[in-house]
Amino acid sequence: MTKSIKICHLYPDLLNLYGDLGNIKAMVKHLEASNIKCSVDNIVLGDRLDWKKYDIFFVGGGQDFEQEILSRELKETGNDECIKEAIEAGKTFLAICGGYQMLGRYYQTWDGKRLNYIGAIDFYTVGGKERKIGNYAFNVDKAGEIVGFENHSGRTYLGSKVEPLGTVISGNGNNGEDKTEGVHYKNVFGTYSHGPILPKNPLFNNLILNTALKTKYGDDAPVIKYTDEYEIKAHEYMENRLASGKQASNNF
Amino acid sequence: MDLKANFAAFSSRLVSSALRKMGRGGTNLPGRIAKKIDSKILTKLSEGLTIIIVTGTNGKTTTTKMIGQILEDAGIKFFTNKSGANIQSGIIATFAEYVSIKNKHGYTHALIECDEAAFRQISTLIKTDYAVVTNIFRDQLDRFGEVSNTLNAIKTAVKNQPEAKLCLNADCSLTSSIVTESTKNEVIWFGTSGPLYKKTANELSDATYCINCQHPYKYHYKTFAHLGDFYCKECGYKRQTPNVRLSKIIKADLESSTFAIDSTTKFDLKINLPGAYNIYNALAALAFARAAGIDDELAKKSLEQTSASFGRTENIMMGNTPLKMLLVKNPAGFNQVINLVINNPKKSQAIFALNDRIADGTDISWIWDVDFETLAKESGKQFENIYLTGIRANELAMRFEYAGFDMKKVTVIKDYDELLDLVQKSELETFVFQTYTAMFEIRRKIAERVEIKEFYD
Repeated sequence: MTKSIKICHLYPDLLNLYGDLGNIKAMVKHLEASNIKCSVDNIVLGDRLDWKKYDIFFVGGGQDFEQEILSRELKETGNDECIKEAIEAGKTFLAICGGYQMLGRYYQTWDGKRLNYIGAIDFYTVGGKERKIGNYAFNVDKAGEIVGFENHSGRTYLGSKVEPLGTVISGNGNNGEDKTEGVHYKNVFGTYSHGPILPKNPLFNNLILNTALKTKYGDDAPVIKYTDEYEIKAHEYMENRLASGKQASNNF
Repeated sequence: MDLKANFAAFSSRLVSSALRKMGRGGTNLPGRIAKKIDSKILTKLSEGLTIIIVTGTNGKTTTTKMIGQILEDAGIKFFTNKSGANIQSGIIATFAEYVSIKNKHGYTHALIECDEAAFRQISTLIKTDYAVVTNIFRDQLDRFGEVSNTLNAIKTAVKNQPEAKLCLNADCSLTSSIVTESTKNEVIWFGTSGPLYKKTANELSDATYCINCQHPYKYHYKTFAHLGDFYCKECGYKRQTPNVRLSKIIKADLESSTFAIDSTTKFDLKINLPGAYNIYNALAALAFARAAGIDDELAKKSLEQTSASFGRTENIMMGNTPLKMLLVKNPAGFNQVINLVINNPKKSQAIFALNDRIADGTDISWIWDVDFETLAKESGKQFENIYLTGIRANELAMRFEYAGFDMKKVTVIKDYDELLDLVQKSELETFVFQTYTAMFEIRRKIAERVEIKEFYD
């Protein structure tokens, strides 16, 4: 029987900072190349989330104006509780930047104001005055080195029982202090690597897809191993560049 | 002008000239030195001049050029800054260069292309007479931050300049929000009256939700991205009726656009610049003309003469190969160029050059917000060859594969000489899509082959 994966893109109308769609495209591409049927539904403002229908949830980053709308929206629709239930039930999530922060307990602005978030996972974020911006790399068990771009003023601190997604090789990651990057809780993968992390990190893409397949099909789950030369070359370019210590090639 | 200001201006000129002799243009040093010497330098140098500011995310350079042509034809003595010098230090250096102690050149007007954040900074220093805002889009986030920062910078500047006459894009809900009930400025609105393209790229909107009440906007029509006749059912915020209005597109192709205008008078206008974005630039320039009391007839003639600015749909002949130089800096601008190309199918080839230096934006994730899928579908066949180059050519190759281009036609060539050899031999019309620093590099390489205009004109 053909296997299938249903992807839910949470609030693409609000959280669509720079290239988030690339992640959806990357998942679809690897699934289709592996003969696994897939579909993508968008949950937008006003929709009620029926989380049981989906295998993978993607949530991207947003600007402050849109994040504010979203905070209110999640409470009004009760979708914040749905997201928590889905996480606890072992659904697979990829959450990026603002979407990642939102799964934590709260965001404290640098002048002390506290905004409560969904609180699905035990971590919190403190706003900094200085933004951390640049290409960076971190290491993830089972997916090797991941290259991405970070652009955040928030510093995220994980609770004692919560695992990071990876260890920073170059750049800042969660807070620039403890070498942790992102969060890995149950089947949730959270990261600061904004824009499309999956296209040029094909092994990480496969890890996420295989996690969802395993959850859905158990021992019958197929294993995706797809990569192609373009993804690998894009990855290698940045991996080598960071290894040689260069950020932007040079200033103009 | 006092001695201190004079010395500051002199120092700026001296450093500029020294840097030019060393073969280095476009630095911020002269203006920074002048400001160190006299922090009020800009106020002193701009005194008595009529100041015209052109700001907004896209179209500043071309709109400034159009307004410059209008001023020139109206016999107004003015000076203007080079497009690279649109931040505070560059603006100071420009004033220092043109304004001397006795104003011996007799300038009456300064036409200043101004970065949005710089507009806020200089708004406390310079009395602005006219402020033209082309549009507001999401720009490179690593350099400019969120789109709301851009908007707030302009809002603050306008608050500081209640006497400035504003020329604003009515079709842009973000730009339009600059004007509130408490705004005292006189406003000339420019806008359209219907869609401008048959086919358009799919774009993320930078303004889906009402800026006042956060409910979704509705549209009677869209031109591109978030521009169009918008309204909010919830709070009643809606597009202002344009004072300078495009009433009909008569003809549009890869070289020019002809359209009918309804302003103080009604007339047809042909601009020798393609694309809907240049139509908006012309409307902005016409709005300025109206605000400044310059005749439609004169403004029409000026706009019909304006040619492309450096790298903005500029045509260069390299041997027998015609090149169309297209500067692409952000997804909104790139998608507009795609709209232009897909609405004018022609056998051709394309170069895409992607750099990630500071001036290009170090974060290239924006290429995923460019609708290459539509370009692949509509123009994949018309492009005989597709060459990818620049520092991040490999990432572009991956993006193109995802977009569905026929990868047999796609070649990554990082060496510009090798690439230009191929292109020159082909004698095929070539679209060159390029980020800022890539354009400088490629243009320099072309200049080694054929004679082209100076960089710093």
